Amino acid sequence: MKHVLVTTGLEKTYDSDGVPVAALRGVDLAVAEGEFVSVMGPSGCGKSTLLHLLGGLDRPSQGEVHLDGRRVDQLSEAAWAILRRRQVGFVFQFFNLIANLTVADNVELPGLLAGQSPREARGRRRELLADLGIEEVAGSVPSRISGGQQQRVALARALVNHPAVLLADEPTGNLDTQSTREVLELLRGHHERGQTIVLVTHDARVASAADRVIHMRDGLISEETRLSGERDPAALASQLVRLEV
Amino acid sequence: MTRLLLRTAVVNLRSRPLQTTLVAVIITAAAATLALALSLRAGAADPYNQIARATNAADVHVFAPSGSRADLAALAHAPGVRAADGPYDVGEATVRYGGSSVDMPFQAATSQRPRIDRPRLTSGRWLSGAPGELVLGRWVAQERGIAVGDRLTAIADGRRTALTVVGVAVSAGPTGPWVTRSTLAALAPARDQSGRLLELKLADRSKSAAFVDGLRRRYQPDQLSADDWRQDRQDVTDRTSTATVVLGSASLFALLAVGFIIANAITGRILASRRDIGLLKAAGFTPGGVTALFVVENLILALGAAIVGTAIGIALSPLLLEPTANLLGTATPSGVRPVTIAVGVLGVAAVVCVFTALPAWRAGRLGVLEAIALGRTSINTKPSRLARAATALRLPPSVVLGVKDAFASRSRAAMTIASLALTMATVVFALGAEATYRRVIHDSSLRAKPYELLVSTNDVSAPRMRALIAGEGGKIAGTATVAGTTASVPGHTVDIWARALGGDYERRPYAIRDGRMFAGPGEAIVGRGLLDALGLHVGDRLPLDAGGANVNLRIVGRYIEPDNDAMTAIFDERSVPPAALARFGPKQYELQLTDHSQAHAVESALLRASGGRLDVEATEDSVRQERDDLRPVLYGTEVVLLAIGLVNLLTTLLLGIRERVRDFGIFKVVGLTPRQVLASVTAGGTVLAVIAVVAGIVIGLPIFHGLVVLTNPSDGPDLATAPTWWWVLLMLPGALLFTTLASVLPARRAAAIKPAEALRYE
Repeated sequence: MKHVLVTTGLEKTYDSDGVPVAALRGVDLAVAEGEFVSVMGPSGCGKSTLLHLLGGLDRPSQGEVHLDGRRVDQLSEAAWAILRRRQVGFVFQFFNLIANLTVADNVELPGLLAGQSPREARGRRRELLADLGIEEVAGSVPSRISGGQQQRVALARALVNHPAVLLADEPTGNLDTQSTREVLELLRGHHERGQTIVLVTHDARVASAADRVIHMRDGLISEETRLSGERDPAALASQLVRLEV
Repeated sequence: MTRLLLRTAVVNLRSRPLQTTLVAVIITAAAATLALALSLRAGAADPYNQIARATNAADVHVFAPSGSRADLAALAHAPGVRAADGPYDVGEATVRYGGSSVDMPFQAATSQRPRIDRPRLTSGRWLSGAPGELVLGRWVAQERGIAVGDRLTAIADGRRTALTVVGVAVSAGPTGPWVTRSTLAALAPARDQSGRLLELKLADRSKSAAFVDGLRRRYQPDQLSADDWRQDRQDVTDRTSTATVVLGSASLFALLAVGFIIANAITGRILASRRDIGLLKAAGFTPGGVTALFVVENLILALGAAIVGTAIGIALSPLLLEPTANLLGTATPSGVRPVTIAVGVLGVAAVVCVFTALPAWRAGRLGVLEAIALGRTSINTKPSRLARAATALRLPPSVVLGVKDAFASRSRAAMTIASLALTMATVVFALGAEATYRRVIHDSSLRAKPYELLVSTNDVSAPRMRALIAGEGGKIAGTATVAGTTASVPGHTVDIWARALGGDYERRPYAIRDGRMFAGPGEAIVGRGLLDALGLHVGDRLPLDAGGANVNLRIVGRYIEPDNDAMTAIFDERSVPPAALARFGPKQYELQLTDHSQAHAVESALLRASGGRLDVEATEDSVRQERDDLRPVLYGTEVVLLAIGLVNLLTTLLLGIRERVRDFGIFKVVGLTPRQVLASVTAGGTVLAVIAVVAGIVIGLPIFHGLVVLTNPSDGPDLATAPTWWWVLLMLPGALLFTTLASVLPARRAAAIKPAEALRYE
């Protein structure tokens, strides 16, 4: 089995007014190609920090990160930026669309940065927006569309360059139930088409969409649950909730 | 409540040290520029009044030539006279300095300065009573480049008297330099050029014209002549009008730019605080309370910065005021004026209050959630046309993003462009002034002086003069003679200036704009001022009373005449009977050289050959001098405006980045490298600067043209010269350099944003 993402002994310590605060204290993780991994845990356990380190948004204090077989934790900021264009897609809780760009511009931007011609970027954007059912909002600006639509746009932007891994940080944390269900369906759909996903969430129902759930506590992985192919969401969720408690 | 407001305001200011410091720097720079501009306006406004106030100027000057039986002592007590001073002995003598000779109207004085038309010393000291001392007028000293300590030689009747300049003074009257009575006697001016001068102050200054008319009716010109203060004002205005308009408009530009810059910085600060406004409202602040809080906060900042800025402006003001006073021949005013301090501090505070209260009130009225949401995306969401064009041009994505970002807040972008465009318009203005001066210097016909040298012969005879000219051989291409006088036009009350030409005047053309040059006796060319004042046109008849004779002329052309309000007529001297021509002023020689760059060489040669008895004036010198005097003030203002424009652009970019830290975080998440972020910010600044340059050129050219016309309504339209195109083109790379300078810090800050930190606090 090929691993897309591997971390060994990953540590991150922040400086809080001169006091060192450990956010990660040695995380070993391996994510296989095409795997869907959820990361759960209470606030402050280091979930988002782990995601940031995996995507190169922050640097580890110790340990290694390997992406697609290549060690990447020592890359420069510029090299990480170039790597992210093709290899890593990000989705956030608050969508983080660029407010003064239209939906179409937001989605096309990573493609253009990755060297696609405007025609190619336009074609790929049309395809993705149609796939996500939001082609009618292409000319709108983010503030004019609903939260669910914004998160779909964010998803389209993250997937536009067929990244090796999609990193999602509480992607449903700011959505209503209906939109949450729709976004999860989309994630599942892309996962079924082979997309590797690492998803951070508080929500056991959301986590239950994954193949594997990692539980974190105090900067360490405390538990792993491999979920079976049969999915009874309610049963899985209650199992996960029990684990969290 | 007041304590709460003050405490919260101070906490807010401290919590954003960079933003607070930047806005403080802008307000300090703006207040300093404001103080400088106000000082400059005061220094350049109404030079005659400045001189008159500083010197207790006379309302009427009464001159009795030598041998006159007019009783000046009795005139001092005439009805309507409030105070009198004099009479003082006056007399004209030729002074030689630096190889050149010039006639000067000396006035005798004691070791006490005169009470009326009291010369105000600008350097050196007043006469001690010792013989051979001389105090010179500031305007003459500036024009001739004479300073305290220089030695001059006065020549009269072949006798030479050594004079030492002990002081330079400003005066509104027609006379000066000042020497002691015994020195004047030693100069022994010719009898027909000496007399006594009585200075009068009237009970009612507005009746001076009637008073002078009364004297003219009572006395023949050979017994007594009189002029009032209006003539002095006209002389000063003629001398200073160009400089006054140029300086006035430069300071006006500066004031406008300051207004835009403060508005820009403060409005930007409020817009950047919208999220905080939402949070304050959530904590219980009313819209009024929010407005009050921001007004108090910005007022604390503005008052501190305005006091410091005004003090800096006042401290720097001598740098502009000294050359201005030199240029205008006025006393150097003090930069410390109550108006400057009041407007500098209170004016800035008022502008800050208005531009704080309006956006804060609007933001205060937003709903809590709306304000918080706007705080996150307080930007315009419609892509600008320029951004669409950048996309269509297939510019790199980072550049397209920069262009889009530049217009993210349209109002701020508009204000930044407006203030930069004003600065650029002043650059266009300065370039236009340079181009016009260059053209007028190189094309003597535009000065109505189609010759290189004007020679006053003093006591050199005509045959000797012809011999001197012949001695210069091939260097002189042609020689014309000119004699001038004031002339009246029957049926009109205005006087005009008449010039009778002889010799080779056809060789070098005047700048004729309508009609043609006169071809012989009976024809004249005139200035636009004369046509306008008399309601005449080219082709009309122009009867003149000149030199005591009726001279009938026909106007055949209009030429460019920058002097005498263009109330001038030029004609062949054979149009005038010889007896009348003899009553014109002394004949001068206009020398046209084969090579205009030889002017100073020929001037020196003529002065040497004549033993210094000629007064030779290189005609381009006065224009060059005016340009050289104007440059430090014009460019000084330019530098201040560019510096403040730089700080303004820097702050706009920094505030924009502070507001959009999250967006820059996202840019990095989707793959922008730090270098691309750097390029994006610089592109945004560049686009603003380039638009400002284009707008500055578009508005600067008509403003420049309009101001030249305002300075010289008669010939301004013909004289105004657009800046050389390659200088204008150079403004673009200049703007790029300017932008790069302004973008360095903001771009580096944007490039250094850590996406994880920027996106951590949702």
